Amino acid sequence: MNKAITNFVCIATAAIALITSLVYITSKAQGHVIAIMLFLILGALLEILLLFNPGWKFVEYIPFLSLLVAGLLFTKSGADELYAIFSKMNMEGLSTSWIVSAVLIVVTLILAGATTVIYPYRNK
Amino acid sequence: MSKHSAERAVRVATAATSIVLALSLGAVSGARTYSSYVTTVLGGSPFTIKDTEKANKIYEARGNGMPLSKWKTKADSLVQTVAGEGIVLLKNDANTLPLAKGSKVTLFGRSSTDLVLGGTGAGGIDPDRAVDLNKALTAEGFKVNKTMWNFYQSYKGKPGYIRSNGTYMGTLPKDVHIAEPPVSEYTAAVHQSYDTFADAAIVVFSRVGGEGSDMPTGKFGDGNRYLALQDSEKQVLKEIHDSGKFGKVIALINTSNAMELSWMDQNQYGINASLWAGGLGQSGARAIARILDGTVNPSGRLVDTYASNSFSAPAMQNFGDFTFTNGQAINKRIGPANKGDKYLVYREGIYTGYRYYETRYADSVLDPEGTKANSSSGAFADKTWNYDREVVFPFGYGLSYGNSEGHPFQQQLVSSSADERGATFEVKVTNTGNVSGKDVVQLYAQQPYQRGGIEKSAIQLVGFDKTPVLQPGQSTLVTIKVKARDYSSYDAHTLKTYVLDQGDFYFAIGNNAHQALNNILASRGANPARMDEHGDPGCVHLWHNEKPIKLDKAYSGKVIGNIFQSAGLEHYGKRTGYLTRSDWTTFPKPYNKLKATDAMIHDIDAAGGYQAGDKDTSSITTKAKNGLTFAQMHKARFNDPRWEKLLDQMSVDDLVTLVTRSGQVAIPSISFPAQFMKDGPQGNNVRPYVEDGSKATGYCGEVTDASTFNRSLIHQENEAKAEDWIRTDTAGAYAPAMNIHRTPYSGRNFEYYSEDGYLSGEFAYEAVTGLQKHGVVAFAKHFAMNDQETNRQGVCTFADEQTIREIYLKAFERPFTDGHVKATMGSFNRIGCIWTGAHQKLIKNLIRGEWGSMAIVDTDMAINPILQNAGAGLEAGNTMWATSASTFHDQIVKQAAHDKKMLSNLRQSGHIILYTFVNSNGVNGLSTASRVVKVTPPWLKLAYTVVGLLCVIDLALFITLIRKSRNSAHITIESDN
Repeated sequence: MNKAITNFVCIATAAIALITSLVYITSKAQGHVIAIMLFLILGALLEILLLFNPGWKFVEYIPFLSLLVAGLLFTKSGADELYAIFSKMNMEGLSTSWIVSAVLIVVTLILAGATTVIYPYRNK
Repeated sequence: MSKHSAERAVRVATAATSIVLALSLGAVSGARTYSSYVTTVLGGSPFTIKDTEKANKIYEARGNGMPLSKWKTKADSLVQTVAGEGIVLLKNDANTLPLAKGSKVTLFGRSSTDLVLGGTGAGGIDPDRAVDLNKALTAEGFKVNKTMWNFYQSYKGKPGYIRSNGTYMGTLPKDVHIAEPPVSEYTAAVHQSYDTFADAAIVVFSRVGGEGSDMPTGKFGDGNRYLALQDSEKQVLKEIHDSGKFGKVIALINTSNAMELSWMDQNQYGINASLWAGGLGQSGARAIARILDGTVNPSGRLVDTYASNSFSAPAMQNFGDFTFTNGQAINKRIGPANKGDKYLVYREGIYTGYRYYETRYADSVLDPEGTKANSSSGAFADKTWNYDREVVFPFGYGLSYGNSEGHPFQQQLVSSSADERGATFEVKVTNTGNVSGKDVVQLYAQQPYQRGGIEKSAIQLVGFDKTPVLQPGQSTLVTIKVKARDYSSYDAHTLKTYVLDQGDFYFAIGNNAHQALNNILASRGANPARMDEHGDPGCVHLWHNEKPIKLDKAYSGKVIGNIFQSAGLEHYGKRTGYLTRSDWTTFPKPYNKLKATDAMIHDIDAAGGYQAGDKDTSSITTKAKNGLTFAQMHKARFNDPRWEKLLDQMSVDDLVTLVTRSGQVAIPSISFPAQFMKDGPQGNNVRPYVEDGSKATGYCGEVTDASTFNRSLIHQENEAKAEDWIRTDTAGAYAPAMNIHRTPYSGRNFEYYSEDGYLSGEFAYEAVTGLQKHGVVAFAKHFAMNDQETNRQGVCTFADEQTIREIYLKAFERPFTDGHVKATMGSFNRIGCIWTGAHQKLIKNLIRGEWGSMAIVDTDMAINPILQNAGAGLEAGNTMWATSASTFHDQIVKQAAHDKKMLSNLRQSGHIILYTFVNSNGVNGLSTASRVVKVTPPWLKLAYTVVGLLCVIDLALFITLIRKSRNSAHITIESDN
């Protein structure tokens, strides 16, 4: 049962991370940060890797770390978005897809965080 | 707690802390990039001043010393005074106004509860601080229908059904709503309330524009053609009329954009009186109340022509969105970031605003057949062109209380003289009415015109002044002096300079442009049957000029010559087809299908055209240890040799920082403190008062300012703004703004003065001198020809030299010359194909050359390193890039170290910036012994502390997790086997 739940969370994390990168690339961001997408995709792939039991201690933190970096860069780029609005460069406000990306990235981080909590107990 | 549970808890805490830490790090890192901007908003300082020894502090100017609460009251009172003099009485049948004190009134129109105080963007006024009409009227003793008021205030309507007003962001057409609730939704209680508040119905219709987008010329949120009366508004007028309840119907038109107002005289609506009010500032509503009850006698005059059809100006034909037919190829060749695929052609030439309507009228009187002035070409109100059908209110129009005609003041030309050196007129103004009030003397000129010669407006404003308050029967003498340049023309083809043509020059006073023109026509013996009113030759002075006289000496003493040939399409081998009064069937059509030539694309690409200089920069000294500081240069002459020594102390990075980060970052090597420059024309709406953190005063909009026709009052208003700049610790003011109301639809007309360049220039002069008198650096903006918001980033603006000089640069000339403005904010657009910030002739030939000015030439908000290219801009003489962010800095800082030309240009720009700010409030509080040290602002310190704590917690949690993991025999990573 635990294994099924763990696998589901890992797959969900990977899927939402990939969806996030897709939504983000379609947003009207001031300059798409390639690194954000790369870290999201890397995090997703590493989450999938967890399904194959690599057997290393704390391996569940590796995709989490990758996704945390994506979150960090995304928040940093949020400053550019806000400045663009305040400086009148962007007169339309935040695009819906950017806002959706922001929500999804938070969801991704929460799921990746949850993976780090439940992953060691997946076979119990 | 079991070991598993404890470890799980640690894992949960680690995950949660890590997420918060990552997001916090991102936020802090992002905010740090814009630390100057964030500091401006949150307060604090990015630098500190340390005095190495005791020395007197320097103050370019100090505040007036008044307690802040008293100052706020005084400034607020000034807002009301300006509004009181800027409101225009448009109509007053049978002395409908003033209303009796204590009248019971019903306010109609949703805008009655949401007055336009200014506009959006730089002119925004915080509506929460504004005095609303209900409060203003009640304070003045009126009894206001609260049922109606509450209905409007609580009316929700459909989503987004709220008119934009005073937000920082612009407004897009799809989001624009008149926001007038349908009359069918008025409740029974509303209908019943009419009976009790029936002395007068006051209906308020507003229009608001904003930065970043123009007003909708087509469909918008809930209507079509924004400046026309909308169906929902017609229903309101019909409701008032059909109810039969109201003794008087008064329309209050609250807009800075010329609305279509011919409905005012249509019987079906029964309007008895009407007032116009532009941007009212935070408390201008009180002035409306005082005018309604007669406490204040209206004395404002319109600064734009109010046409019956807002599309009828010839400029409207070439307003909006035009794309080169090879736009895609342009983008492919030089990149879309160049924003080089849009254009505008000013085919109307000099015939903007009243210059069109009045000149065509003059020709319809003097030579209707020869000029085809009455043809159908450009006729919007009828099949053929007729002034009285096309124009509702002429430029300069306005009534006052005191007699039944609305003109209680008699103006008499007492003495007059004019020649090639200038003109002087004395006008005796007598109040023949029964109440006290002020009058405006308007002086117009007509230059000799010959068909096929230089285009001339049949009438042009050349002088004005406002009287003091005159009691009934009282007189005053108004003297108006005019420079000859103000009644000359620019001859771009033959003499290539300004000229007083041979022939008759007429000067006339009049209550508005149309009346003055009729006075001249009468003086010229025109056929009265063709005129719409009799003129008075007694109000006219004639000067006959025997021969053409060149006026080619610039303010600086240099010779004036053509410098804007490249702004015309003809420069690129194309034909514009300008409107000419010799044949009014040349009324412009939209200039579609313009293909950019290779030469045009080359000029558009400023970034690509920049040629780097010598790589060896060793001859330019940097990082020298000369021991000079910024403050030590206070009052030093511009050519003082110590400037070079000071500049030698700066590193390449210092110079690039100073120039491309708008002086908003401290530079310790010369002890230069970060400077703050803020919007805007309606007061400092960004930085709060240092004393209590509250927002500074929101003054009236510039259209209201200009409508006062009161020079000294606007000077006084700008001195008050300077006091606010001092009290908000802000060195520079992005004001005044003086682009031209080329059409009624520009979203930003609200913060430009008028359709007339002379009037704009006169008030901009008062603004500049008022601000700078108290140490503020005024940034006259937006230089130049930024007359619409659509495609403002990069639009190629084509016009001829005469038009550019006489109409669009006219507004800037006096502030630059007599006003000695210390800075100008440029514009995003191009003149011809060249971005204004990279336009050498605009900056070096005109500003530095003809006008003899060493003002800072700043960009508009620096956001596009390709369009607003630093290399090309510096080479052309642009001085500063308006951003505190590091985008432009990062772009050129490495290049500058290996580009002698760029480094040399940076030094020249740095010299101008430092010279300007050291002789401004930017030096306040420093001493010759002051040393500026960069510090971390308090908000950033707090942010670092929070992030540091999170790091420690996260690390501690992870170590705990590792320890627990080692100690636990139960937790192992098991294989599936």
